Amino acid sequence: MIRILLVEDHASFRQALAMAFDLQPDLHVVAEAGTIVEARALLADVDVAVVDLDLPDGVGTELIGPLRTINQNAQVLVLTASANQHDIARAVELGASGALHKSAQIAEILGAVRRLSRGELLWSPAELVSLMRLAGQERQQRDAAQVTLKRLTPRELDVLRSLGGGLSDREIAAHLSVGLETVKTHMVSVLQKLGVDSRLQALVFAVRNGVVRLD
Amino acid sequence: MFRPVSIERDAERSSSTTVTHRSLPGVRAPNDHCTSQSGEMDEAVRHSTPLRVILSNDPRAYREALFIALRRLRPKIDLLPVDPGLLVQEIDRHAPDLVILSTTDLITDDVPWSWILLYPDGARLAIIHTKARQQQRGSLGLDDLLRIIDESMECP
Repeated sequence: MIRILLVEDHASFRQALAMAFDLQPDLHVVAEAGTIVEARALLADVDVAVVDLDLPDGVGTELIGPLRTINQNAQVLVLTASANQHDIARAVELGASGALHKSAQIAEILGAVRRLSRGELLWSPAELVSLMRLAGQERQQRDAAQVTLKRLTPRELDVLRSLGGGLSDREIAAHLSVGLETVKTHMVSVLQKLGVDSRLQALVFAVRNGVVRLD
Repeated sequence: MFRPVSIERDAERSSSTTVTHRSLPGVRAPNDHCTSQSGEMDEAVRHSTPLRVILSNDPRAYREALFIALRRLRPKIDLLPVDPGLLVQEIDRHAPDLVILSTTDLITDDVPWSWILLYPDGARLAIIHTKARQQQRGSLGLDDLLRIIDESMECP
């Protein structure tokens, strides 16, 4: 019997999927969780964890480490609505054994769980290498971006975040209690250090690298 | 936490069917399992007409999982899984009582069917619009869904 943990915040889907698993003679859902916090308490005695990436309190891959600590043979199948290969690559790099898009048929999900429990790969070695390469490239870009961002002074970061808040130069000046010319000087410096030509490009850079969050 | 009681072993086989084309005659007037087009149904006829539910939510894994669960837990409803791309014509064809969907495109004030907007664009959100209730929920469990279906089966 393959013991399954389901981690998915959309409750009606999670519960229905649990039923689909339990209708199979060789599959049994031993626990369900809607958040990472809930799941952390349910990692024991699990053979395969079926994990959504986009959870209310974080990314589902955060569970891979704790799960492997408890059971190094446990497998993680990521089930995601994201079509972004970078998300999949990141999950693989963090230790996910397989990933399926939520547009998959239930039969595919059941089959994937069975294959992973037998220690099989869901991807060909070439696909796996390609995903790992993608993850590596992304990690290098991320690291390079962090180095670039560290060149910004705290005040320049404030200006950049204020720009992300939709403020004009005059509003930024008032917000930071500095003169208008000082804001413009900081802005020029930010653009130079980030190696971009426009405020929009600076903003995109900041959003991509987590300096500015657009809610 | 919901745990299923009934155990049958054919989910994998059944789940491969995502669109059901039933041999019903052409386009029909809106179905109403409580009231006939000419007026009130008598009690016997009323209860012989099953609630017709179109399941057209996205993504497909959600739709198929719900189909498996609802078919087991409410075997008497007339449950039709429909690809969202075919929803317009399937509504015209089957005249459902209730439509479960993930897109707002077809929802207007005057649609004759009840609806549940389930996780539109992946949002943690469900909006319910039936005769018995109109509400927005941040979370909708399978038990909630069953309750809504049961309410819809009860005639006023």
